Amino acid sequence: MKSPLFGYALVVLGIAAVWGIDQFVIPWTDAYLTNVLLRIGFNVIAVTGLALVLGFTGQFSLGHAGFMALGAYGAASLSLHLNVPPVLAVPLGGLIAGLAGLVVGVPSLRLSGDYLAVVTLGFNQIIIVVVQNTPFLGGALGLTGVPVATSFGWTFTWVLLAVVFMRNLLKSSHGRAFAAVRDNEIATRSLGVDTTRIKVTAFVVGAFWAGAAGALLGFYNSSIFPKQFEFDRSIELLAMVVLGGTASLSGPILAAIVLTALPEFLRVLGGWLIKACAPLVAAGLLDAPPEFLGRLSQYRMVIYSLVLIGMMITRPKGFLGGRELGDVLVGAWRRVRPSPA
Amino acid sequence: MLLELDKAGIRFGGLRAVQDLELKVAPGALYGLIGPNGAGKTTVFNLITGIYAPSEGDIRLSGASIVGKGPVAVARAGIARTFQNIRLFGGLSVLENVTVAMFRHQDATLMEAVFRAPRYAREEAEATAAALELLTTFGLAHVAHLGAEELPYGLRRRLEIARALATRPRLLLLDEPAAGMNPSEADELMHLIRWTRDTFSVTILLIEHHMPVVMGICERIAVLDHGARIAEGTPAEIRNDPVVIEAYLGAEVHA
Repeated sequence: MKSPLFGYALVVLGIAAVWGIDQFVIPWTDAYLTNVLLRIGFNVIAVTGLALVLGFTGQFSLGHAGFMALGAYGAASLSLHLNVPPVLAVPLGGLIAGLAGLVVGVPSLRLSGDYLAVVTLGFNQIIIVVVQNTPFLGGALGLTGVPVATSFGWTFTWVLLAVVFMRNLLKSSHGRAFAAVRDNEIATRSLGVDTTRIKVTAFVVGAFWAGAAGALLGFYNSSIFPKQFEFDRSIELLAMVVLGGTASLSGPILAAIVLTALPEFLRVLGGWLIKACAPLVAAGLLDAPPEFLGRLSQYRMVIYSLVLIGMMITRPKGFLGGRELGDVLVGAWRRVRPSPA
Repeated sequence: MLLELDKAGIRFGGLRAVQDLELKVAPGALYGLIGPNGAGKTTVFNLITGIYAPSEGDIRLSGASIVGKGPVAVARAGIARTFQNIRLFGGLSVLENVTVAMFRHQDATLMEAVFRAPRYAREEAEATAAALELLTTFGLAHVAHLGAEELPYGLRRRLEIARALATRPRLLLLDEPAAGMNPSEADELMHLIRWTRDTFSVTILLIEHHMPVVMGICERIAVLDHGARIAEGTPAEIRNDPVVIEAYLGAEVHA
């Protein structure tokens, strides 16, 4: 095995690069683009957690946004009421979500499949209802006055940590145990591996990263609303894992990038198409550009659904299936340039 | 005795799937459990491994009762098994199927694994080396990095035995290891099983349908029919037991 010091050095270099970009590139970057990049970052962090729970351990959780809410509200409250600096509040938000994952996971991970989906869905709903009815947390109007502290540098430092953490975890003895539970629970137990414990561990670790992502999101907008963490967000994260590939880490990350950027892309595409209609209008073929082009990004849910259905029919294991992006690229390279041997 | 079933039985509603079962397996034995289809053989395995709790009687491993322990605790007590319908981890490689069986002997925590701490690195190197050695002895080293699902049927059966042995059990339960094999494959496998018993000094209790094969390698055999033991003894005794012949072939008709 390679020395871990090499890996540590790479992570430090990566973080340095992130802060380099933060200092020297972001100030000259369009604020809109930066906003999209940051939202991609939040989703990538959250999706690594769900990839562990759903993709690698095979536990069907429909409440991942609930853990994001706990992280966001937990970290923001710590910062507002106890003056905890955001730098500390983000990991604490993750820990709060992780603790909730333990409380929810211990009783419900004895269930499996559909039952677990219903319990986690209910959990998500309970969190939203509780927040909506707690004046301390701002109720349905949302919590305002949260300090703005999330920058490109912080977000992508967390992205880097989340991805490296998950990659190392999945490529370890513990990672094999997660996959064993997913592939065959009875056989895993027959090897003396406590499968309930493994599932709870996956759930807690997944919840931690969702909580951290939520906390970063909370410190980004200066206000947080229950609506941001409703069921449709859980579905969005689920779609990222399923589309990207269960049993893959890079697949869901790729899907998180594409699906977060998709509405923005549709907005830009709509603008282009409206411009492209100008000659037609000038030629008198059209009275005005079709109205729906201006609202193209609102159709993203339709596109999600169609892509999801298409994927289930053609590639039921997701875009990358059980493989990682690196393996796929290396394989493609070998096909293009066969080795001389 | 290593394994003792003392009047063990289980009911599913009104059905007595196994009743009053007496079984004594000595340390180092190669013991066969045979019987017609539906006799309750796999149910006996499920009782021993804690998947079912017996409704009556006791099951003891080295004199200590294992009744009421779940499958995880029973496995940790030193009983490993294979399954009639092979249960490999399809998403893992052949090598990983074996190393995952050593997971409970590894102490490195999740955080040590993520940070690649020295203890984790040492345990991982040891597990990989031990797994490769095991795969070599089972003739699977050349496919170590293939996905478990890519293996042909016969090799899957071998891999499942190798995986069970990787838990370092005292007692190994094999549920129809030669199922679906042709006679020569079955014969080869049975030699491998005897060799395994001798090399790993593990006690083996196996269920099998291929009669010649069971008679050939097992030192003692128990015959099960309708959930009850109808005979017990050496292969020669079993072969000539009229009760066994009746169970398998039906009663003689006196005209």
